[in-house]
Amino acid sequence: MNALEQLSESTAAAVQLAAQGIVRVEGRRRLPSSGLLWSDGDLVVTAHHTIERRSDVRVGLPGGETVEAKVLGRDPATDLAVLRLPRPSGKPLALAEPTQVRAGHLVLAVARPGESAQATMGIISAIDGGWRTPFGGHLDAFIQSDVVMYPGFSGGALVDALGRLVGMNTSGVLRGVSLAVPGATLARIAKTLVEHGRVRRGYLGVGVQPAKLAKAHEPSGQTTGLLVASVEGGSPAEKGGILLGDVLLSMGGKPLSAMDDLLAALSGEEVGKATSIDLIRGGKTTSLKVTIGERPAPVEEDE
Amino acid sequence: MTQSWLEELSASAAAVADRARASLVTVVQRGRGVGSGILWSPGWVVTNAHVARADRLSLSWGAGNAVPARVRARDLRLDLAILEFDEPFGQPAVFGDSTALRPGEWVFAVGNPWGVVGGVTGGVVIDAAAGRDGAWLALDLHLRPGHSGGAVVNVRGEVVGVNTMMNGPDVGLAIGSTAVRRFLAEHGLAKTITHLDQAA
Repeated sequence: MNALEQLSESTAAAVQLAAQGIVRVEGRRRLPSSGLLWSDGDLVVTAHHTIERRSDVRVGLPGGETVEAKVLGRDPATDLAVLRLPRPSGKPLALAEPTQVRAGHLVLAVARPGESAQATMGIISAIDGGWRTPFGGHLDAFIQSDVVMYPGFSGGALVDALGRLVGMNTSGVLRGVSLAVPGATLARIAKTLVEHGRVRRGYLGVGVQPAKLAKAHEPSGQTTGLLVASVEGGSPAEKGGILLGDVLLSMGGKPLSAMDDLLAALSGEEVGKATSIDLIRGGKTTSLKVTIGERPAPVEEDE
Repeated sequence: MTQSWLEELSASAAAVADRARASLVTVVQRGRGVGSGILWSPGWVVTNAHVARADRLSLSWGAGNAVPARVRARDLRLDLAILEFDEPFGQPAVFGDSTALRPGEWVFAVGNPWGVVGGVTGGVVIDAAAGRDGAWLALDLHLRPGHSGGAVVNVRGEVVGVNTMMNGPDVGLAIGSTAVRRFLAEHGLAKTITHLDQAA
């Protein structure tokens, strides 16, 4: 075989291997999406935005059989949903070692919107540390590739040249960007969804924007805080006494200099806890106790 | 070591492109622009029906050669046509088996995109059984106007499809060679096909 035949054989083999762990997910009216066999092969991880109903979700297995699946839980913030199959139905993909995935590496998107597996090819465009989605979820890494997201590819796998899982592809998080939710995030969120059916996230009930401070705040030395532009009625923030125009400086002792600091401070473990918030009001620094609430689940529509 | 393998890969790809170009013809419909065609036997060209709407066409190849051609068969539903001409030239293509294609396998498409003679684009097979009847190929490459009627070849240079349409800017759709063979056989050209099978 010449080099081109070797390349072609290798990419086709990687797809064939990965396809064994990829299923079709029928959870919306239009085209089916894809999903990854997970855990002992009795779970499926898929893209939340492709599951439009709570019941009558069906999964097409690699062997061709179609089975009923139960929606165990979903997390819109990371665009993940977990389904349970009636029985173990195949072997999940092996994970790629995250530290070895670099920009420029060859990757394949493997999906199963129809009977057989489908694939597109590209390279890793960017891979970076932790990243927060526009919906407030935390991804353990930001993984962007230039693979074509053919219809039904959301929920499918981004695999390396050996067919190992780099992440779950989704076009539901960033429009026009082929983003993959990394394997570590899949494991973390899937575990929570299996145990609790949802991912708890803290909730304050304020709209904020970064604001430059008149002088650096001591002892943190931070030069920006978060200006409160809105307070929701009945929210933990209102109950705790936060007012429009306050500039939040820290929460639980951790500085709030950027929007992401606030989202990071509102993790699920904080729900129900009374936390002290330092803020500037009328030019003076003051402190309030606020009991963190739980972010309400988005309204789901049954068909 | 790695670099030399990549160079070898690049050279292999260029060789496949050269081979595919050797069987490429330009189909000219007066006033309707240009399409592409595949020389599959001396005196015969296969192309898309939408590239051969006129009854009288001309074929060009190489540096300024041109011959008149007649439509031998045309099926608008399949979007395939067979053209015949009197002055055999060029190197006939070798046909491969589209049903043997696997997703992730590499292919190249040649044609005359935007009138650029011999333009090549490459990528992997997305779906080897696309379309309602499974006779189509969905490809992760960039077809453009003028590619229509040209060949999709595999890494061995065998024709596995006929470029037919774009599905957005990043996905090309081609008619698989199996459907093309059937079409040729239905029009009494089975003998030649058998010969090409042996060649393949």
